[in-house]
Order: sequence, then C-alpha cells, then structure tokens
Amino acid sequence: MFAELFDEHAHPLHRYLARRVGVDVADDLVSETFLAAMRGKETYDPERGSVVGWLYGIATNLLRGHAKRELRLLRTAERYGVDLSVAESLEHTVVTRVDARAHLRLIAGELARMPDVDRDLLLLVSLAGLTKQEAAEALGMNPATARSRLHRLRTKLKELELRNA
Amino acid sequence: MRDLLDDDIAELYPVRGSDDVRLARLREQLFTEAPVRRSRNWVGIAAAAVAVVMITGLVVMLRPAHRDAPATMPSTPATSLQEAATMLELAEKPTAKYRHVRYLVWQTITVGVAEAGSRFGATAVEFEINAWVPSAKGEMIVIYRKFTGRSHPVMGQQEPIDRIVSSDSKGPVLWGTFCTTAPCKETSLALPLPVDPAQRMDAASSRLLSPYTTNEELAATYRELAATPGVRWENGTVSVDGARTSFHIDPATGRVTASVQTKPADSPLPDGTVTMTVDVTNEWTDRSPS
Repeated sequence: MFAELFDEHAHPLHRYLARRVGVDVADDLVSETFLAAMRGKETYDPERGSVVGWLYGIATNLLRGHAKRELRLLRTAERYGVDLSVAESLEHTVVTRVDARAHLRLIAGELARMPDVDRDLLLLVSLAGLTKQEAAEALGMNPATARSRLHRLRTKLKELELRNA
Repeated sequence: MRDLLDDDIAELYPVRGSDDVRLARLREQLFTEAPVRRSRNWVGIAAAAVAVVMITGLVVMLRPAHRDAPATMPSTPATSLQEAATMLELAEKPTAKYRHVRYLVWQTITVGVAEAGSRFGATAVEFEINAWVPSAKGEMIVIYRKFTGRSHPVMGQQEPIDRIVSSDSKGPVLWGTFCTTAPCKETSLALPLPVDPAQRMDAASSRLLSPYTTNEELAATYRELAATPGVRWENGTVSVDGARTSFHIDPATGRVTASVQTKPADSPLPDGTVTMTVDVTNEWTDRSPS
C-alpha cells in the first residue's frame, strides 16, 4: 500500500523539494520521507487530516535540516537577482556577469528573512499546490490561523512588489 | 487564482529535472517489488522485478477518492473559475441511480433585542440536510432535514437550546425550488444575476448550492462570476469585496464544497460575524433511504 502512496505522491513531492533545495537533496528527502512514513505509520490518523498533509508534514520537517542550504541559495538569488537554479550554479563557478531580475531579488530577500514556518506555509501552497487545509495539516497549524497567516504574508509581498514596480 | 506573486515565486524556484529513472530506482529500493501496473510514467522504466516483499499490517488511508463522481477525474486541479467550469462541462455523466448531496449547515441564530437592559445573544446551531436526486425521470426526490443537536455560543446571553431551535425546525432554506420527482429545474436560474458584484455573489448562492443545478448550469454560473469585476479565486475560494457570501470550489472536482455567509449590514452582531457556513459533499450511489 505504501507503494501506491509512492506512485501517487512521490513525483509531485520530488518536484516540490527539488525546486527548494535541488535535485540531489530532493532524492534523499523523498526517500527519507517515505521511510519515515512507513516507520511511523501509527502516527497517521485519517480523522485528523489528509494523507497529503501528513506526507508533506514529514517532508517539511526533514527539509528543515536543509534550511541553511535553501537560505544560502535565497541570499545568492537576492544578491544577484537570479532564480535558485542559477544561484546553485553560482556557488560552484566564478561569474563575471549575470542578468539580474529585480523582482527576484525582492522575493528572494523576503523569503530568506521570514521565519521557516512562514516560508514553508507560503511555498506549500504556492509551489507544491497544497490547499490551505493540507498545508495547515502539514505544519500542525490551526486551519484558520494558516489562512490568515498566509493572507498576511501574501498581502505583504504583493505590496512590496507594487512599491518596487 | 494564481497571480503575479505566484508567478514570481515559480520563477524564483524553477522546476528542476525530475528524473523518472531516478524515482523508479528509488521506488525499487524502498519496496523491492514490481511496480504497480497503473502507476505513473516511471513504471515501465524500472528494472526487472525482484522478489516481492509483502508489507503487512499497514493501514494506510490514501487520499480519499473524491466521492463527487466515479467518472474519470481530471488530473490537473483548476486554478480559476473558468477552469472549474470546463472541468464540470467535460465531466463524464455518472451512471449511478442517485446523486446524494449532504449539507452540514451551521447557522447563527440571535435571540432577544440588542438594546441596553435587554437580553441578547447569538448561538450557532447545526443542521444536516440530505438530498437524493434520482437520475431517472419520474423517480421520487428524497430530502431529509434535521437539527443535529450540536450548538455552540457565539456571543451574549445563551438561551436553552429548545428556545433557539423549535422541535419542527428544519434549518435554513439553501435553495428555493421544491420538487417531488426528477427532473427538477432550479428556479433561481431563471432570474438573471444582479449587476452589482457583491449582490451577484450573494444571489448566486441558491444556484450554486442547489442539488438540482446541473453541471452545465453550474459551469455557466462560474463563467458569469469569472466575468464579474472584483471576483477573486484563491485556491478555490471565490469571493468579492462587499459580498456577504463566499464559496469554496474544490479545484480537483470543480464542485462547490463550502459557502460562508457573514452578517447583514443591519444585524446587531459584530462586523464580520459569520452567520452561516455550509459544507457540501456529493456522491453518486445506487441506494436511497426510501
């Protein structure tokens, strides 16, 4: 049955994790997520939430171990105004010129500065495509709190974008 | 609805190569069994099957298959009202005998007068409405309504529950149409929606919640709302400033799964008080209670 769970969720989970910390780390995280899920199957209670929320909750906890990596990439992205895949390559090469994108600088900087849980909430919904309910379950948050928190985060980012437009 | 912020986040975090071969090998390492035939792309890429290991004693609740329709589900969630409309228009016609729609309604009821020296309070009470709408012409429509017995205080002086909910109370009227047999036409569809965006959203409630509204009629309503200035879609939540009512549409099915209504302007309740929530589930079944 976990094989079916893997078949349904591994691909989108891997895609989400790879976007945040790169493909190599994402491989390990997907593997660790499903191993943790199999070992901790008793912790899943369908009465309390969806299996998506549960899986992404495990993945998010594991991702915290790689928070420094993501923050480093975000700071590089902020400095050069590039996306995270370019930021990753900048770590290994000497670059004399990059085409900076100002809006990426702004978003990267804000994401780097926000608390981990806020960043996770924002990205679980925006990148991973989870519903607010699922994201709340993944983060162990009250759904109403998650909704209002997300609204506040998004409003702040949008206002910043508008001011800098 | 996705907006510029989501686009910028997606640009900052671009899609990296998700290697099917890599995932297939990972699957093999984790489960050491042949891939399930109906799984995704990497099935045919995986190496030859090794000995199957039965993983016993596992109780896993997979994400429940949407009870909405047993027909083929679109794989891409809707990201707008228009996409939700298309989803409904393209949905295969179910073959089951009945569409069973269940509504769980929390309604805030006020008692008393909000004046100095008077008793005033508000209590939320729960009703359950079940509607079985048959597919076949001439078959009887069955609707049951009841107060579930559950309540919770909202504010002020709380009265005994039997003073708030009478013994014959059946809950709020969510749609105005009364029918005894199928087919039944939702009558609110005959009236055009108001032009004002907030009034339009509120007026759309009957047709969006009615069990008699067909997929095509629901889709047409979505398109009307999508074309209304100020209407927002945020991950399935549809709202507009100034309206009392907002809705949630399940991006996976295109169906309305919830509505929230706040107090009218002339109510003594505090601003923003939710006066009604409706949670809707749909299923197709061959059984009815009668």
